Amino acid sequence: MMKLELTTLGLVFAILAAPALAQDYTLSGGGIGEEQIERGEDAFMTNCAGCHGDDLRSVDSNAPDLRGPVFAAGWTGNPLSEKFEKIVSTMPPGRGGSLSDQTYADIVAFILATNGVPATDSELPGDAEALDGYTVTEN
Amino acid sequence: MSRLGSPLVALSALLIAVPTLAQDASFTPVSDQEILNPDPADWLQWRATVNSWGYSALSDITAENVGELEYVWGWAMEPGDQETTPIVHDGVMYVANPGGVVQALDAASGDLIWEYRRQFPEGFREGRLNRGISIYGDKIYFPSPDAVLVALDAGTGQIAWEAVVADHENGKTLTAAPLIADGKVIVGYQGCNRFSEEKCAIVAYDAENGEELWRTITIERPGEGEEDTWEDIPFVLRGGGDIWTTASYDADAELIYIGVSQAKPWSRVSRANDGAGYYTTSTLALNPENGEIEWFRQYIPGETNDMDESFEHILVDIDGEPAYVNMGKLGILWRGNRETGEPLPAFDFGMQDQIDLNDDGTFAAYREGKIGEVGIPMTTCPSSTGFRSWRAMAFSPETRAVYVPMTINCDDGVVYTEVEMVEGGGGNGRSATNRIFHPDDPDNLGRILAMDVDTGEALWEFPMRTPANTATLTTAGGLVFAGDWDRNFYALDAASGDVLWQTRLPQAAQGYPISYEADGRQYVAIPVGVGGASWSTSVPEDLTPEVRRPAGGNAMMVYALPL
Repeated sequence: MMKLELTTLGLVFAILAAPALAQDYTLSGGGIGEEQIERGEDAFMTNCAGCHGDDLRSVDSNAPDLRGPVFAAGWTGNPLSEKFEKIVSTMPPGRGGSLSDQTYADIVAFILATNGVPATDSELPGDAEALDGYTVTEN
Repeated sequence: MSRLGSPLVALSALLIAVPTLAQDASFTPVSDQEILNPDPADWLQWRATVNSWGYSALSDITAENVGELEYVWGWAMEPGDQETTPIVHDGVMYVANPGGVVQALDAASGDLIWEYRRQFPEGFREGRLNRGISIYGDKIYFPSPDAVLVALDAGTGQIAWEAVVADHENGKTLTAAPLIADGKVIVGYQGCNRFSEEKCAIVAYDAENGEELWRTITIERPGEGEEDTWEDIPFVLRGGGDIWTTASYDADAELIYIGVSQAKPWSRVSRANDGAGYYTTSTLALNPENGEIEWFRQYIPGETNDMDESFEHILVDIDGEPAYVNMGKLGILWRGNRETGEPLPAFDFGMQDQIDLNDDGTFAAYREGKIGEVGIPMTTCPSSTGFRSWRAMAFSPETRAVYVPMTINCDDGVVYTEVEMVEGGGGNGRSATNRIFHPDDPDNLGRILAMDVDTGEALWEFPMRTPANTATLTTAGGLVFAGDWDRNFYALDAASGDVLWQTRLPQAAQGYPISYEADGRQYVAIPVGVGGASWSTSVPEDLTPEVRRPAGGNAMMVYALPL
């Protein structure tokens, strides 16, 4: 029984660990730009990394990870506008809306890029209405 | 010769005088006896005394005259996450600001005596929080956010010694005030939300020289117990067990009591095991001599909803027996014998919807639907904010009640996920949350609950639109002081809950209020400020949007009766 449990447990680890190794997503509706990702990285490190971590693994027990299984569960399948509006209205805590809409979009672009969404020639707009037509899906 | 000698003598006197000008002339080192039985004029520890009552024996300010309280002095503080506790000895207030700044202030006038500014490594995040400092002998002990315990000369603020408690580059940080006990400085640390070989721990130092004396980690090692309560998962993947409150101390029992927080990730489904997970969500009773666990009590085996159940431990005799009480996020007053750990019947405040209790005060079972499944939204009362959290409750020996500062809300959309089961993985494992008002209290997010520790009966409840945002302070004047997120600071009648005095602060009351005496006058000090846990801002901003407060403004505010 113990051997069986250990084997099963090992399998669980292997399955759970797998997404971290190859995390690729597709963005439909538009793209994220190289320069935008760089701008987003700067803004993220200044405004977000204190809780969400330099590598998007949270360093604050109340902040969610922005990569791995938590990203897969929380960022895919729904219009990207939902995430964008949530971030604009609530982040950073106590200073919701304190950045420009375009900076929030840049930060989102950086988060998407870090999770494996490839860069394109176009940029993510800082406009919730436009982002209604954008969706992240897991490959 | 004599003419030459006079200026030299004068010069020597001046040089010698410089350090003494910078400190209070009446400073006397804090003895072991004072730690156990402090002068009521002082507030020496996080919760005043080693029994963690949060109670001041001063009684000049009473129910009859508290209405005359007036503002005496204030001190603007550094920006960042404010959850501080000032301490006072011999008329000097010592206070840690966010961001590694410690100051000594004249407690009667607010004049600065000295200041210490910690130099952090490059790139270290600014404004990180501290919940308190300690004093013993001639030193102040400052738990620094970069996981270093710093001993400062109480008279000058100069560094006496430093000890690296844990690795800040591995996410470890000190937030709780150290306990002074048995001649030692005892401190725990947090930052165990990522999987790592380095576990959270309680560590004891020689107060005089900073030598590490013992270290007790909060996570059971494989093979340590008869049965592995982590279901044989590798040691590195056992997360949580953070320490972020201060221990209590019973010198007669020769035990210290400290709360260990929940396992991380929060949900069993994210942790990929259903084990009890020792010693998370537990009280540890440690021998201060060597750090050995004399007994422990886990409140919820395999806790799965971020219900941290072990905060400060209030040591109080019940039915003539040495006992303790504590209350965690669920609003359950856990009680037990403090010599043996044997449970006593617990009192459920009645608004949690997650667990059932046995008559003997132990956990019975999770209720239907309260153990999360991956990706499926669930409802929990309270939300992960807890009905209470870092804001400590106080005890009054006159009423035999604890006064609980509460945040009342639920989560109707919490979603747990899998996490990366690798070193550096982990986290909280939550991908969504949606805080709502509690269905039984649709108008208020805050409350002060006065609960009788012998019967569990509510003496009274004081509702507030926004969360209670401070610890409570009880005094021998029959008063309870507490504040809210909406910038109100109250003095309540400890017996009736009547509001006897209130004032509007420039910023939210946020921190641990204290009372002390300087030059024969009783004062009440209340920290105000912002930051702290993200939900302390987001919950009131989302649910009570009509309440607005300034974006910043940390400070210490001090009140007294007119002269």
